[in-house]
Amino acid sequence: MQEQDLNKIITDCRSGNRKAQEQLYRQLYGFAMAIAMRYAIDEHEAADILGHAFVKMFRSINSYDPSKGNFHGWLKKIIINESLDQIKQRSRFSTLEIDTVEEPFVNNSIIEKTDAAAILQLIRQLPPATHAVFVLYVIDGYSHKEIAAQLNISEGTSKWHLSEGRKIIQQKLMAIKI
Amino acid sequence: MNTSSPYDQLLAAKLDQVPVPDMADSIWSAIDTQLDAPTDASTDTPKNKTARKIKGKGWYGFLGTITVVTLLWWGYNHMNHTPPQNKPPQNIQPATKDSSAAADTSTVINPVKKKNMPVKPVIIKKDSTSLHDIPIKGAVVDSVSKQTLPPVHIDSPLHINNVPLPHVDSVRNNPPPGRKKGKGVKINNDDYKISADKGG
Repeated sequence: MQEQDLNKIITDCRSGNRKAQEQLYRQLYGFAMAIAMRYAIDEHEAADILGHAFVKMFRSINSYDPSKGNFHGWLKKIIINESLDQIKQRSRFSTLEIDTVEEPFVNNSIIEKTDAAAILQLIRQLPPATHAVFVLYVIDGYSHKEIAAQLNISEGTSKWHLSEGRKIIQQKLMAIKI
Repeated sequence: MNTSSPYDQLLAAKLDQVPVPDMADSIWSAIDTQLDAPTDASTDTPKNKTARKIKGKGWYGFLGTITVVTLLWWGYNHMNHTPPQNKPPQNIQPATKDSSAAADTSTVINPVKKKNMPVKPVIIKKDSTSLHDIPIKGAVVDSVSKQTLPPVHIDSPLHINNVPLPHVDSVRNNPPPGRKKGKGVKINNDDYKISADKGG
């Protein structure tokens, strides 16, 4: 989709045009669903996240400022915030005081050979807090500082969760190959 | 943004390959429904909410007022009905008894004994105000004649025989039977003498 077309649809959405809203949703569905799928434990939760995120997006579309970033980035942030709200509902994020974190060794060749859906399933099996930190850091590129602020935990705790996530995934990947 | 390792990049690339489920229509219908909701919710303005709040509070206030009024009414009726109708009338001090208050010296009136309720004797000082001290309009009050009036004793024949005495309203201070009403009637010294004879 061209940038001009997207801007035209966004302008129509600002005036509450339902057709334009549907059009925008369908244009961004694949992009948005892929984000929600990483944080959700299953498709149904991903659908819930997506629904709530789009409703929030349409309601606050007038606050979107193109000069601050592109629309995809803005929508991605809304979806991630909604996903974290969902995770917070089913899990409590406790702060752990950890000074040093052991970085596990992960064999990249194992990952390459593993099916994408299987890897997603492994990530979903992580404890909720570890799952959130792992996806935020590894997939969506958040720093530990950003994660700590987002989840209201310390940076050390964020590092611990990342290390724990990597370790668990490595063990499971090894188990699959064996 | 973090500095992602090759491991992270590999994982991110792998997750991008995950197929997206075909749930676009069902999710859109949910979004469509939720987007319609604000139009209904928009009618629920803060003003309406406040009005509803006040209405609710008003209802509680109304109930509270009714409860208080009911309690007051019940209490008032209960207190009004408590004066025992069965109590012997001798418990009520006859108005004639007050006539002794006009004496110069302090007089001790022995109260009528009540069951299980000791009552201290009431000392009426000579300077205490009684209805008899109030001069009746048009009547010439002679202090000498007032002093000669003997006090009425409680142990009257009626009282001894447990004959119920007439209910005397001390406030109104009705004159004893056979005595002329003071209101509008000129009272002279002879009336007092007659009264003293009957009371004695």
